[in-house]
Amino acid sequence: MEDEKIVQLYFNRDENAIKYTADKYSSKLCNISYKIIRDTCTVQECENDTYMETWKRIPPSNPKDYFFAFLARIIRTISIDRYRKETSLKRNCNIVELSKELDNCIPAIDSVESEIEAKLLGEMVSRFLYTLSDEKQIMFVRRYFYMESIAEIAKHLSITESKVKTSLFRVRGKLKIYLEKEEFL
Amino acid sequence: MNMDKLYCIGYIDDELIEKADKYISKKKKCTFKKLTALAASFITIFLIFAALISFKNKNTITAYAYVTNEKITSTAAVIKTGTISDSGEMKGHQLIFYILGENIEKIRFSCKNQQLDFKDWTEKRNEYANAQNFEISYGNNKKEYKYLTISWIPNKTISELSDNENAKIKNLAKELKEDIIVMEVTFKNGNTATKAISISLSDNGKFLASFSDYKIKKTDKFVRRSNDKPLNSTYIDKNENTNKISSIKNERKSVYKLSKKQIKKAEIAAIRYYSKTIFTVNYIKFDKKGSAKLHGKKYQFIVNVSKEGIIQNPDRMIILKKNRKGIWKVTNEGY
Repeated sequence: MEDEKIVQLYFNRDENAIKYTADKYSSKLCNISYKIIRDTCTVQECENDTYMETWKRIPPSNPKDYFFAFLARIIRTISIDRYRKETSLKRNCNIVELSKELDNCIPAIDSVESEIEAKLLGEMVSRFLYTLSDEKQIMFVRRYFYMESIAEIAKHLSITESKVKTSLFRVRGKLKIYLEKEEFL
Repeated sequence: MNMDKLYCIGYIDDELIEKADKYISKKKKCTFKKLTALAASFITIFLIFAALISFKNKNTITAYAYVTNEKITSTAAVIKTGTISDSGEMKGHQLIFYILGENIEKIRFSCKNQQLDFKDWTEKRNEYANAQNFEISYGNNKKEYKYLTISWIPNKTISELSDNENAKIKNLAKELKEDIIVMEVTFKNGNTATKAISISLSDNGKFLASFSDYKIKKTDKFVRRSNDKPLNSTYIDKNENTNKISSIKNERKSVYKLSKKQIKKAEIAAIRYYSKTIFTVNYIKFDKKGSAKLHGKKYQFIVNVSKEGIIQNPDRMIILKKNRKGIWKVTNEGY
């Protein structure tokens, strides 16, 4: 079913909307969550929370053009929050590595509750990414939004792992310069 | 371990997220399907190219609501971002929109009854506040268009409802319940188009908006008003007397050293300040006139805030000062 039709079901408060969303996107969303949580039961809980949150947000939101991005953002946020709160979850090496990579190019936000600052930073990063080639944009987003490993990115783009590593290293360097120029660092 | 940076990456554009996802999917198709898709793509590209050549003179623009990215169509639809009550209290945001299109050179905005704010998030253009007529250069980079936002501010309606205890939306005069924003668009190839967003306030406090073609009539005097001055203009009216000119020069002198980047830094410090209060910042703008009256290295900003989802009126004022280390600190805040 097309995204536009699924979103319309949400507007009509038709509970089949969740069923169709799950049919179409469940595996992709769980994949995103699993990269953060690494625990199947918790991933399922995050998935259910995502559908609940989507039900609450539509309307007033109307993400018919970017429905998957809308869902991905929600499950990613929910998964990160769960990872923070649950110390019983296994420490995720991939997350540690990703955070270290971003340490040098993205500033720390004083408080997570400062959502405005986080949004400002997100907008600046978007503007920066639009100045790059498609391949580099995809590498960055797959690495830091979807949290894929270097090997996965290389396989998907049909390029070598060393090319991915080098490209990401250079992109992070350029991002740092860009944020310094914008006086965000 | 700091998850905040990964959290911030979650706020990148939807378009980038979708692009990265769809790109992966294409790579997983088998060779035969790829070749078929490739062949189909070439045919499609050829047909699109042919269509483009034959329709190359057509230029179109579309309007989108800023927060929800919902397209504003020719059918009047409820603006889901804000409502107003009989007492004049606004919940959420009034209409904020942006224009997308191809090869837009400039757009002249004219608002009939209420007022407009224009904000350029790329910080390349003059900005406007409480203006009714102004012209904006859009330029070649269409990726910037999304960051040129126009806010429609129904100040007159809010004042009438909040100042007058007995006022109700259903009894308001027509000019307080209806408005029109005319956009005279000029494209790079010299073609022009005129569009309009029509806004109406329904009795239940919801705003409806529609976007359509428009033909300027002889009776549309509001379109022929002269342009308002931008917020950060260096315009000096030569017809004014010397006292006024010298006071404008003094005003420029006192704030001339404050660059756009410094203003941005100060805005960020102000937003950080409000993040620790009960207020949520809707927008913030540099108050050049107010700053000129302050001594030393103090600068004033006007802030529009919400408290528990309700927009507060009037706007608040915040004064910041840069210390020797170049860090902006708040020295005063209030009405």
